[in-house]
Amino acid sequence: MADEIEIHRRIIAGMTEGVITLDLEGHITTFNRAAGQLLGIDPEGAKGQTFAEVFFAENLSDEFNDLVLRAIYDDENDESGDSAEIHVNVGGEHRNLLVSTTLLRDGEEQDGRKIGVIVVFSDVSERYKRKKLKKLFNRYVDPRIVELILAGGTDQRAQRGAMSVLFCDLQGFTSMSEHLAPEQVIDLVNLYLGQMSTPVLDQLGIIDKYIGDAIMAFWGAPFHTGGDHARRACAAALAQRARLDELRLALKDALGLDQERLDRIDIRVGIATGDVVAGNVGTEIATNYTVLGDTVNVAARLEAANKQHGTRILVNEATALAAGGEFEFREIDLVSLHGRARQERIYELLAAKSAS
Amino acid sequence: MQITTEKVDTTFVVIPAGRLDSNNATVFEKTVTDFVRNGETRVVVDLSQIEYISSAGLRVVLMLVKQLKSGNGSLVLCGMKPSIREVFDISGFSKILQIRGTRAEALAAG
Repeated sequence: MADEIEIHRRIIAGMTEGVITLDLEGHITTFNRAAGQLLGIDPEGAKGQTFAEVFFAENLSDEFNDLVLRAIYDDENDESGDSAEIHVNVGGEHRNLLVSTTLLRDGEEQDGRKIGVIVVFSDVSERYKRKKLKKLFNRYVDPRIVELILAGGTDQRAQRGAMSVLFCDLQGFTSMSEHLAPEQVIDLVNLYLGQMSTPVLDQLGIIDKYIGDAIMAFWGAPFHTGGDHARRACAAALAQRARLDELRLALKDALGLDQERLDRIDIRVGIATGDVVAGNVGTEIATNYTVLGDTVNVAARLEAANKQHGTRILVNEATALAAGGEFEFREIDLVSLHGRARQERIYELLAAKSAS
Repeated sequence: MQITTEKVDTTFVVIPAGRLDSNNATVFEKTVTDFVRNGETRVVVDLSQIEYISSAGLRVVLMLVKQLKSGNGSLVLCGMKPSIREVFDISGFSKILQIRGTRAEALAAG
């Protein structure tokens, strides 16, 4: 029996979790080294003293103390204990501890004699920071890219593959913004980006970046591995157009734009399907997981070409071929897209084919 | 939280009711310190109406005891429900505070 207690004592002493036990009179009977380190309290000074003397003299957070009290209260309700994540300030350093408290009883039974309280806690600051960072990141970068970065996936070499790239732009944004107050311009862009990003995400696309009022999105490995990337990009583009009225209404409510200006609000979309390289681009200061290649340039150029052709959604031949079964396209032109030797047909995406 | 006060001879009796936690610990503290400033030195806190006391509440009690002791006064607690008494015991507060069962005992001890 004595040996067994000694073994337990040694196990607790060496644990990386902080362990504190109290007897029924509030004396600290265990206070292991890890507990001392995590709370910034000398274990030798704490042992033998009461919980009240040590924990209410120190300016430790009430959160910690309340968890200990709750183990005593909760016992009334037949609950086995309590655990929560709390903040403590140790010598000016902020820490997040995951703390569990339990009322100890003699034997397994609920009616066993009460012995005291055991408090076990560990430092979860790193995990907490990571969670916070991820949340912050997700507002700027597509959550799936964040996941990939955190999983170390982007350390791999760049990937090449067939993908579809989409550019969406707000028509007449520059001239409109000249007549608006700065905060109205920001409201306008945010409303527009919000409305037009949703269809991309609904179709499992990745928002690569926002460039002013332009949205760049792509469908492809390593995020979207299906062969239906062209179809999904086309579906997203049509869904974006379908949201125009909703966007106009939101802008009317938020900015009080008159009907004439509202009518002028429109979007242009360009989609290109082809070979793309995906990977981390940048310097040590700023890195961006993005897609590169001719296909990206073509998509951007098709978006702009809507102006000359009086169209709304233009796609390249590869997109039209890949998605042709499900959508109606109209051939617009045979063009030589800058930097490419051969001429290529471009198509206007009109609508989804009806089920019949 | 409701706080009732009474004067029994030379002893000032405070009877807080409900929960004594971080939401109202400062109100309780202010009520008592105001009376202490006005010359009360013998204080009894009757906890019979208290259902729950958090560590913020314990902190205030501890603070008041120190304040009164430094002015040669005293603070005695009484009337705790069993669950409240258990909290005072297992946290070690019973060791450093004066606690009595009934108010009569507390008045006699103060």
